[in-house]
Amino acid sequence: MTLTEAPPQPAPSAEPASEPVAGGSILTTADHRRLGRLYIGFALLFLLAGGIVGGLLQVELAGSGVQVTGNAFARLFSFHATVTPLLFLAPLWVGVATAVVPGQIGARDLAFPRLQAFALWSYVVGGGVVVAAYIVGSPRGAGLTLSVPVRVAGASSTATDLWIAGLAVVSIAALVAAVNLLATIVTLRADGMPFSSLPLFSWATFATAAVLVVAIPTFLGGLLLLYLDQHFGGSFFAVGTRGTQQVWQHLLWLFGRPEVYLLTLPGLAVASEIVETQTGRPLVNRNVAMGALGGFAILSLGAWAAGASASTAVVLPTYSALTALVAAPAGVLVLLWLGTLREGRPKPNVTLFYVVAWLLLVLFGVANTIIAAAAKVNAGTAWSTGHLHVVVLGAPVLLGFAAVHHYAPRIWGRALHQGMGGLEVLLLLGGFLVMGLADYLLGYDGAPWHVADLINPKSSWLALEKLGTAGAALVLLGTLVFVANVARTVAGGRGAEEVSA
Amino acid sequence: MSDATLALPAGPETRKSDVLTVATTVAGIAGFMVIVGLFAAYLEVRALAPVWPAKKVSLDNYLGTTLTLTMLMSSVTAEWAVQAMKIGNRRHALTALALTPGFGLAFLNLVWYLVTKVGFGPGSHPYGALFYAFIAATVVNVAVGMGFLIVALLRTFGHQVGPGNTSVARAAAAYWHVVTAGWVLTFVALYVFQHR
Amino acid sequence: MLSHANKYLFALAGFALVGFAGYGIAVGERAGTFLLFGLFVGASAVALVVTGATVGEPVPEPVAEGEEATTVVVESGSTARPSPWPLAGALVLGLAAVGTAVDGRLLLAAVVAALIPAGGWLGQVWREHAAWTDRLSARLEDRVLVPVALPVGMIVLVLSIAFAVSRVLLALPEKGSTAGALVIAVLVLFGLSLIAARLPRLRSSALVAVAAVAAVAVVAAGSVGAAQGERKFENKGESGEPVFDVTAFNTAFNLKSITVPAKAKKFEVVFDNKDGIYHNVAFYKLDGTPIFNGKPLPKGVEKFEVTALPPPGKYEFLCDFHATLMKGDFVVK
Repeated sequence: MTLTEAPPQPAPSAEPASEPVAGGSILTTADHRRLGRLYIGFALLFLLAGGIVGGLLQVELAGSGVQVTGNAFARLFSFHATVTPLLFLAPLWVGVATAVVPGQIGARDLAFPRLQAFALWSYVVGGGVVVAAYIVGSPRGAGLTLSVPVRVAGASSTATDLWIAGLAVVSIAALVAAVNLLATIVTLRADGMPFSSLPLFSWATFATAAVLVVAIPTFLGGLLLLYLDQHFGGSFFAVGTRGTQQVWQHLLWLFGRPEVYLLTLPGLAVASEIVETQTGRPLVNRNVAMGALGGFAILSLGAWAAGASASTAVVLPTYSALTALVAAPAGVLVLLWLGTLREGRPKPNVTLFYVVAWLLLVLFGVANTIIAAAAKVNAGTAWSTGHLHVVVLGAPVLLGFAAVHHYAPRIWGRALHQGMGGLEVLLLLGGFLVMGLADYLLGYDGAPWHVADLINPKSSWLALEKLGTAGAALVLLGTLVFVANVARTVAGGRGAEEVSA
Repeated sequence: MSDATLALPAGPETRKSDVLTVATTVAGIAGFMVIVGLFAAYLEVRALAPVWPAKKVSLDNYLGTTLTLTMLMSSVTAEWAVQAMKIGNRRHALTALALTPGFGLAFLNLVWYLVTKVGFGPGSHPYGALFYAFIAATVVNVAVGMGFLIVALLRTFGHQVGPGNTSVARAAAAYWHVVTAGWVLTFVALYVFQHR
Repeated sequence: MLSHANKYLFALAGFALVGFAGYGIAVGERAGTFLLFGLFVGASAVALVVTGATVGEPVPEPVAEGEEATTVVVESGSTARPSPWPLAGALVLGLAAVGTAVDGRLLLAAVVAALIPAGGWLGQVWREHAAWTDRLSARLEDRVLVPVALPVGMIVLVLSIAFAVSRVLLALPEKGSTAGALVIAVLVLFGLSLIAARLPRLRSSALVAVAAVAAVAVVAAGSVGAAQGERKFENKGESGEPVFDVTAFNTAFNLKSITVPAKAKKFEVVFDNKDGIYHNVAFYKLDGTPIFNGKPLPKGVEKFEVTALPPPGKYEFLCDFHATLMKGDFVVK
C-alpha cells in the first residue's frame, strides 16, 4: 500500500508507448517541436539583448568623444561580440533542426528527446551565466575577437571566470545537441530512406553536427587552459611564455572559423528547400547539391589553416585562397537554384525574397572583398567590422529568418504573415547594406576597429558612422518586425493562415 | 495517421539498438578530442620552453604506468562484461560491470594522490597549467564513463539489461574504451614526452 | 557501398589528413600540425562509427517507369514523456559553472547535487521499461524512495535555506542584518498563514508558482550575498590587539589598507595565501626602510604578530615578490 500519494505521472504501460504523449509544462517538455520553439524563442531574446547593445556601441561611435557608454565600451563590445554569434545564431539553427529534422527523416522524435531538453536548458542557464559575467564585472581576460588572451589580475577575475564557465556550459550544450542530432539522423531514418534521399536540411544538419563534434572539444580544451590560468594566477598565456599565443589561436579558431561558416550551411540547405517548395519541383541535381553542402562543411575547416601562421590576427580580412574556396560550393548551389527557378514556375513568396536578399547581401560582401584585396586594406580596420556584419551576421540572419518562415507550419502549425515578412526583408536587407557600406568605406579610409571613439576623425568618418547607425536602426527595426510576426503567430493571430502540418 | 504500411520487407533489427552505442561512442570521441587539443598545446609549449618540465618537477614513472595499466585492465573488464552479457552469463556480466567502475575509482584515487604529491599548482608555471588541464579533462571523462557503467550495472541488476538487450552495456563499454584511449594519450604526453 | 554520409565523413578525414601534411610541410608549427592530425583521427573515428551503424542498410530498388512508388506512412507525434530532470540537470551544471568562478565549495556541492537529476532521470527511464509494473513502482517508492528521499530532501532544503539566508545576513551591515532577519521572519509567518488560511481554495499550480518564486528569491539573494562577501567584523585578538585577515589571491591582496591605533602595542596578521606561488606580507616605511618582513609562504595560512610599531604616520605594506601588484597603505594613528 502506498503511504503517500504517488506523484502524478503518465501510467507506465506494459508495452513501449505507441501513442503520442501529452506535452507536460514548458519546463518539463521533451516534445521536439516545443523544444525547437523554445530554442527559437530564447535565441531571439539573446538577439535583442546583443543587438540593442550593438546599437548602443554604434551610437557611441557616431559622435566624437566618449558619450554614451562611458568606461564600459570594452565590456559592452565584448558582450555584443559574444552573445550574438554564440547565443543567438547557433541556437537558432539548433532549434529549427530540433523541430524539423525528425519529421523530415520520418522519425517520431529525436534519438534522445530528454537529452535535447537538457541541451536547451543548459544553453539557457549557460547564457545566463555569461550575461551575469558582464553584470558582475568586465571579463577582460579573453575575448572571441582577441587573438591573444590578456591576463588581468584582481577585480575582473570573477567576471572572467564566469564568462569562461558560462561559455563552457553553452559549448557543452551545443555538443550534446550535435551528438543527439547526429545519432538521430544516422539511426532513426525511416525504413527505406538512404542518405542519398535525405532532405537537404537534414543532410546539412548532419554535416554540421559531424564537424561540431570534433571541433567544439578543442575549444573546450582552450577554455579549460584559460580558466586554470586566470583563476589560479598563472603565466600560461602571459606574453613571456613562448608558444601559448599560437596555442590559444589554434584551439579557439579550430572551432571558431568553421563555426562562422557552419552558421550559414543550414541556411544554404533551407534556401535550396525553399526553392524546391516554391517551384514545386526538386532541385535540378540533388546529388550535386548534397555534395556542395558537404563540401562547404569540409572546406570550412580549411579556412582556419589559412592564416594561422601569423602570430597576431588569424582572421585576415583580405582575400586568401583557402577562404575563397569555400565560396565555390555556395556558388554551385546558387547556380542550381537559378536553374531550378528557370525550370519551374516560382510562386512569389516571402521566403524567396529572403533568398534573393541573401544573394544580394553576399554579392555585396564578395565585391568588397575583391576591392579590399586590390586596395590592400589592413587587418584591424573598420572594414573587418563591416564584413563581419554583412557576411557573418547579416547573411545567416536572412537565411535563419527565412527558415523560420519556411518551417513555421511545421513548428507552430501556422504560417507567418507574408506582408510583415516582406517588410522584414526590406528593413533587414536595407539595414545590413547601409551598415556594411558605412563600415566598408571607413575601412578603405583606414579607420580603426574596436575603439570606443575615433581619435582625430576626419569629418567624413563621423558622417559615415552616423550612416552606420541609421543602418543599425533599420536592422533593429526589421528584427522587431520579425519578432512581432513570430509572436503573433504563436498567439494565433488574425491573418496567420492555418496550415495542416 | 496511424495505419503504418511498410513498403519494404523488414530488415534485420539492428538499427534501433544501435542508437545508444552510436551516441555514446560519438560523445566519447568528443571527450577524446579535448585531450587532443591539450596534447597539441603541450607539444608546442614544451618545444619552446627553456626548461621542460618546470624546475624541480619530475613525474614518477611508476605512478603513470600504474594508472595506464589500471585503465587498460578496466577496458578489458568492460569488454568482458559485454561479451558475458551476450552469451547470457549474468554472474560474469555483473562482476565485470562492477569491476570496471571499481578500476575507475582506483584510477581516480591514484590521480588524487598524484595531484597531492606533485608540489605545484595550476598557476605555478605553464607546465602546471597543462598538467592540471590534462588531469581535469581526464577526471571528467572518467567520471562520466563511470556514471554510464554504474547505470548499466544497476539496470542489469534490475533485469532490464540482458542477453536480448545489451545496448546499454555495449554503449557504456564503448564510451569507456574511448576514455581509456584518452588516458593513453595523456600518459604519452605527461610521461613519454616528459622531457625534451 | 559507401553511403553519402560515409563519403562525406571520409572526405572530411581525408581533408584533415591533407591539411595536416600540407600544413606540417609548409608551416611546420607543432600545435597546428598536431591539431590537424587529431582532427583526422577524430573524423575517421566518427566515420567508422557511422559506417558500423549503417552497414547492411537495405538500399531501396529504384522505381521502374510506370510503377507507382510505394508510400511509407510514418506515425507522427512525439512519444517522449515530459521530465523535470533535464532542467534540474541544467541547473546543476549552471551551479557548477558559478562555483568554478565564485567558490569551490559550490562546485563541490554541484557535483554532489548532480546525483539528484541523474538518479531521477535513471528512475524515470527505469520506470518506462517494458517490464516495469505499477506494483513494483509502488513498492520501490514505499521502501526506498520515501524513507530515504523525504528526510534527505528536507535536510537539504533546510540547510540550503539556512545557508542562503546566512549569506544575506552576513553581507548586510550590522543593523541591516537585524532588520533583514525580522523582515524574513515576518514574510514567512504571514505568507504561510495566508496560504494555510486559503489552502482548500488554492490551486496546486498557484502553490507551485509561489514555491518557485520563493526558491528563486532565496537562491538569488543567497548568491548575491555570497558574492558580496561578509561585512567586516572587528577582530580582536586574545589580549585585545587588532587582528587583520590578509588574503593573497590571484596575485592581489584583499585589503587595500591596514589601520592600527597608535596605542596598540602590537597587532596580529592572519595571512592566507590562496595562490600556488610564493607571497608574503611585509611592512615598510615609505622611504623603503623595512619595519617587518613576514615569512614567505607558498600556500596556506600563517599567523604572525607585529610588535615593533612605528610612530603614527603613513606607511605601506606589500608582497616582497610582487611589490608592484600587491601593496596597500599601512597607517598608524
